[in-house]
This record gives sequence, C-alpha cells and structure tokens, in this order.
Amino acid sequence: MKKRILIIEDNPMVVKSLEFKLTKDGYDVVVAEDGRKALEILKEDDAIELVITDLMLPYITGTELIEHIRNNTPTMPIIVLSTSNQEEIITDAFMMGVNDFITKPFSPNELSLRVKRTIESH
Amino acid sequence: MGTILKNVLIISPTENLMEIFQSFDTCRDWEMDYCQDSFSALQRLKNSTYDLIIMDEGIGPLDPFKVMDYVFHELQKSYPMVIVGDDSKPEAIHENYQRCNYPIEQYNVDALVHYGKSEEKEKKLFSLEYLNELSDNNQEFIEESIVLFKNTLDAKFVDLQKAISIPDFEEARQIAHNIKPSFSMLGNDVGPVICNTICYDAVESEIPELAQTLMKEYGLIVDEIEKQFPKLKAV
Repeated sequence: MKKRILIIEDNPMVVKSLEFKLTKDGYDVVVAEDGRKALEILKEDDAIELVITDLMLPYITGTELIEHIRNNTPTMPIIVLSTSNQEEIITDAFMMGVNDFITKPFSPNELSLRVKRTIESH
Repeated sequence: MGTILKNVLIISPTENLMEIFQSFDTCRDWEMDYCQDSFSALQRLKNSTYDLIIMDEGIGPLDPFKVMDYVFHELQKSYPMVIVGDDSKPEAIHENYQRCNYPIEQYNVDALVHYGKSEEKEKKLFSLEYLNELSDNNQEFIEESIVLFKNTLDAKFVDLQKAISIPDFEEARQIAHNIKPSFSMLGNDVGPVICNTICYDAVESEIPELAQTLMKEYGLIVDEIEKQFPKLKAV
C-alpha cells in the first residue's frame, strides 16, 4: 500500500513539482494550499504518514500548524519547506520537533532521500 | 582552476580546524574567517565573498550538504567547497565539493590551493535545467509548469499591485515570498534576489519601485518563453 504524504504549500509550481516527484517515487500525495485545509485533512485522514509544509501560509502560520500537529499527533513526521532568510523560523521549527527541512526549490534527489529517510525512521 | 586562494571561510564546531590550516606554510597568506556553526556562516556568506569554504563534517544545525544547497539555491552563489571528516568515507573530488579526511596532510592542502575559484553563474532570463532534471525531461510536465508560471504570476502581480495601492506592504512582502520559488524553478537569477529584498530588506517606500523592477523582469522572462515556445503564447 502506498504511503500517503500531505503537502501544505501555497505556490502552485512548488506543489506541482512536489506532487510530480513524490508520485513518481511511489507515494500517494494529498495537497492543502493553506493551514486550515491541512487541519481538516489531518482530522479526517488518518492514513497520512508524513507532512511536508511551508512555513508562511495563509490563515494559519506554519509554526502554528506544526504546534497543532505536535499537540494532536506527536509522532507525525514533519518536513519543513523553507526559503532563504528564514533561519530564525527554521530554528523555531526544529525546537518544536520538526524532523527535517528542505529548501525551495528542492533538489529532486535530495527530496527523495529525505522523504524516504524520514518515513523509514518512524 | 589554479587561482591562488586568499579568502577562506572555515566552519567548524571548534577552532581546531582553522589552527590546523594555519600550521601549514602554504596557508600563511590565507585570510581565514571562522564560524562555529552553519547559521552564523550563512549570515556571513550573505555579505562576503570567499575563494573557498571548508566545513567540518560535524557542523550544525545545518549539515555541510544543507549549507551547500542553501548557498547555491538561496544565495545563488557558487564556491569551491571542502568537507573535512573522519575516514568513514574516502577522500574524493565530487561534482560540487571535495572531501578530505583528518588528519589533514600537506597533499590535502596542496590540492585545496589548486581547487580554483568557480566561475560566476551565467546570468540568463530563464532555464529549463531544473524542470528537466526534476521530470527526467518530461515535456508535458515542463510545458504545464511554464503555463502555471505564467498564469499564477499574472494573477500574483495583480494582487501585488493591489497590495501596493492600498498600501498593504505586509501583503506585498508575503506575495514576494510566495512567488520567489517560481522564479528560481525557472532558473531566473534576478527575480529571487528582488523577492528577497522586498521580503526582508526593503523599507516600505522602496517596495513599489522594487515591485516594478520585478514585474519588468517577469515581462522579459515571458517574452523570452513566448519566443522559444510560440505554442504556449495563447495559453
């Protein structure tokens, strides 16, 4: 059975690329374009095995979302999508227990390896 | 290749690595900057230029590969990089970096001295290199991505102009943050820099002009895309 990944990202090109690569790698991909939608999906879909999230999202910030996930599903692995100049936010995210981060635009092979490693270690 | 090294950045949890290089006569002319962790190194790399970056394998919080990724993709700089580690992996010259192992020997230093300064990346309006790599040259995916680039950025620039006219500069910064990866994914070097400036460095009075410059760059990219892909013009 395919492992399911929730992508939370509001840039359509980034979403398309992540979907393309992860689907090719054999994952089932679900997309939320904002934090509110992500929380709805997480509430209804208990087959999600990994969350990949941007930090600057509409309605609910990435850090608020991470905090919510950590409070409700503490073992859910989380990979953060970041851009430059976000060192402080990334540090906060690590303090909140995110498992890894990937810089946008991501390196395709690195994405594959980091996703595989994160899922396998949980 | 063969450029004489002058400015070297050492990133290592302790100053030992810097002291090791200082002990070699070959390195006596090096001007070495030292950073204890990768975050402080990235801050320094934003404002300084180096001929060589030497990283201990054990640096954190970002490991050497994340630093390389960040420097290349986010700072859009290209430096010769060296990772120094234990002997669990062989010493080797890889595509983007060299690996050498402790203890550092004279031959390691000699190799680094000749590990020349990289050429600056050629400036171009756009490139499909990234999308090709990502999709294994899947033309359907590439064309869909180009159409997505045009359609989403057309809409985002309308939002950006609206935000500036209100003015809501916080919204303008958010939009710049959102569209920055789109420029990067199309291999454009200028767009991400302007987006970063709008997001993090510009004062409010500078944002309208920066937005105009960004839109102009976007217009140039679209013109070039339409020249190369006439069939996408009407999409």
